Amino acid sequence: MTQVQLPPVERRRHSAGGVTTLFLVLALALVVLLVVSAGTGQLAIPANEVLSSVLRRIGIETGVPVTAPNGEIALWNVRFPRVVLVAVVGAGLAVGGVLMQGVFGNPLADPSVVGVSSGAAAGAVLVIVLGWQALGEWGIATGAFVGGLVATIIAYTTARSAGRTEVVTLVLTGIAVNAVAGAIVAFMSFLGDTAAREQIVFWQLGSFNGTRWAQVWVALPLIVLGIVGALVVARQLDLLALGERSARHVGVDVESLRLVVIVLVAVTTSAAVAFCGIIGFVGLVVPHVVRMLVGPGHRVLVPASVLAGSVVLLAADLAARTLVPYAELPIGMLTALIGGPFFFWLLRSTRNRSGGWS
Amino acid sequence: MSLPHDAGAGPGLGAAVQDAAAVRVEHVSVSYGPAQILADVSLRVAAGEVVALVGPNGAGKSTLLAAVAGDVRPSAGRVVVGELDAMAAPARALARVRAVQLQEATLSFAFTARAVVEMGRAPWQGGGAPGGPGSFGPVDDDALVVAAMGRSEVLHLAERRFPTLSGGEKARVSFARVLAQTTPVLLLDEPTAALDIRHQEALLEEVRVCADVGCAVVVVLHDLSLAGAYADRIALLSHGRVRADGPPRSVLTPQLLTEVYGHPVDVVDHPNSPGPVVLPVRRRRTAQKKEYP
Repeated sequence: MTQVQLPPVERRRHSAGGVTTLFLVLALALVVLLVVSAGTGQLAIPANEVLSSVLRRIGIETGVPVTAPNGEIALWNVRFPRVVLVAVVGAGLAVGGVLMQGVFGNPLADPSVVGVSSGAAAGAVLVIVLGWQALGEWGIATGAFVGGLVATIIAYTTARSAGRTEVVTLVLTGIAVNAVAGAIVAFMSFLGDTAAREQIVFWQLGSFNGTRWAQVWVALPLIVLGIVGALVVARQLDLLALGERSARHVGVDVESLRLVVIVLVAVTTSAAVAFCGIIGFVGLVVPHVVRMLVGPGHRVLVPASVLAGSVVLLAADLAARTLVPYAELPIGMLTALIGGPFFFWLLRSTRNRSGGWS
Repeated sequence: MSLPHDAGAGPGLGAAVQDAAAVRVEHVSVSYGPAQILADVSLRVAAGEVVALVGPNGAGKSTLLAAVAGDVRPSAGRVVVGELDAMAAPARALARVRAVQLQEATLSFAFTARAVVEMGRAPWQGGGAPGGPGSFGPVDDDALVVAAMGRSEVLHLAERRFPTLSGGEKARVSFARVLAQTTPVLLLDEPTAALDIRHQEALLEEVRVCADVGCAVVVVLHDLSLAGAYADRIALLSHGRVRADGPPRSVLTPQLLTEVYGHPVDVVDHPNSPGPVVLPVRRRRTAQKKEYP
């Protein structure tokens, strides 16, 4: 053991070429989907006209006008806010998943485990049924924020004992929070009138119908905050994979990391859920697949999942709008329908390959 | 050893810290609820010294190591590692003073072995990065990682996914991570438990090298002969107290071990072993086949 020559270990990090390729493919897919999605609908607008309309806004005249009547207005008032919000929410859900899985050290953890999603749902449903109009059109969104944060804080403070947090306790507390939030939603649907009940159903299924710029300007900064925060703690999340004790031994302040990550999860998930209802499985499947492609290092996983989350949700939204003519499928139903079996397949293949999920 | 960084061998801090104890455990008691695990334990480990913690199951070896690592809050007494209070100091400052290898190495995501060893460099990233006790100037993290992996013979595992490694390979990768952390204090909890004979000896040989260049090492060992061969001092724990603390030959006596372990134990000398060899007394089996009723 003492005669060690420095051997030529070439730095074959998770193939740097593969990482670059993934980022390029995802970025390309994101742009293509944004343009195609913006041009698709009852009023079809060709991709070159969509692009030239965007370029014109930033001061580059291309000489290609939007030919469809009212096309320009439809693009800027209806389509663009929608596709941008879809992309932002997809990124937010994926980052929420990455953070949650990192802090739990379990690739199967998800914001819904801690009760963030259902807490947000309960908050929104309370606002819908009790008709708290004082907040105006922001009522539902604010309700979701407050509900999600309250659920996270309750779960977190309950699960803490003697300055530490046992993961198992946190998961079990999450189950209790989920149950209470589910009961609130059920009771509110019972109390509400038909209109409110319809709105609850719509909200629970998830939809991007009727998105306005104002909603984008609220969701965007919050989710960007979550992404930046995730990038800042990325290296520490890597170290947390060693386990809480060993992470502390290599200098991670585990308790404050946990607190920061939980707040970031609440912020991104509530912001994502607030304007479009509950959209499941993006936070679970996207980081999982990205991890399989480029490895578990969070400094690559976070940005790759941001892009992949946007791409996946844009594709799902496009499908939801076009699969059935003259109707729009609930996007939450669609992601669950595709994400559920896909996740099941992931579970089985992961377990077969590595003999478990640890 | 032909290494790019001889774990900071040479003049420097090593000599300066030599006189002050690197680890001071002062009258520490630890209780989990009503159960008292450690009772008024005191221990001093000087720089350049390997101290083995031995004792029967449940004697409090791992708890003592956890207290030194700052994982367990003592109900009484205090632990000082380097200049730092093990409970009060910030995690990052502690991580620059002591490295810890736990009994079981787990990893929740499938990082490569190399990435795991690189995690040992984390406390030094972002400034003030010595390459070991006594070394100054710029440090090449990559070279340190490769050197640490070479010393624990895991270079060939560099690109393997950690969860796919065997128990012994995981332990050696974890040891490489501890070496890469280049701290003046090493705390090792049964690092040889999963290793074969060759790797047991090689790992403890490396532990000795660390001590010879000025590290203070506390290592929990079950194999008393290993402890006798490689430790400068042995602290024998029993029922949460230090039963004996001294050089191997004064602690590893048949009377003491027989009493503490509750099993007859013999201690012999062998020309090929620098320390005493400890043998549990075993009943000779008769040649006849055993009849089960």
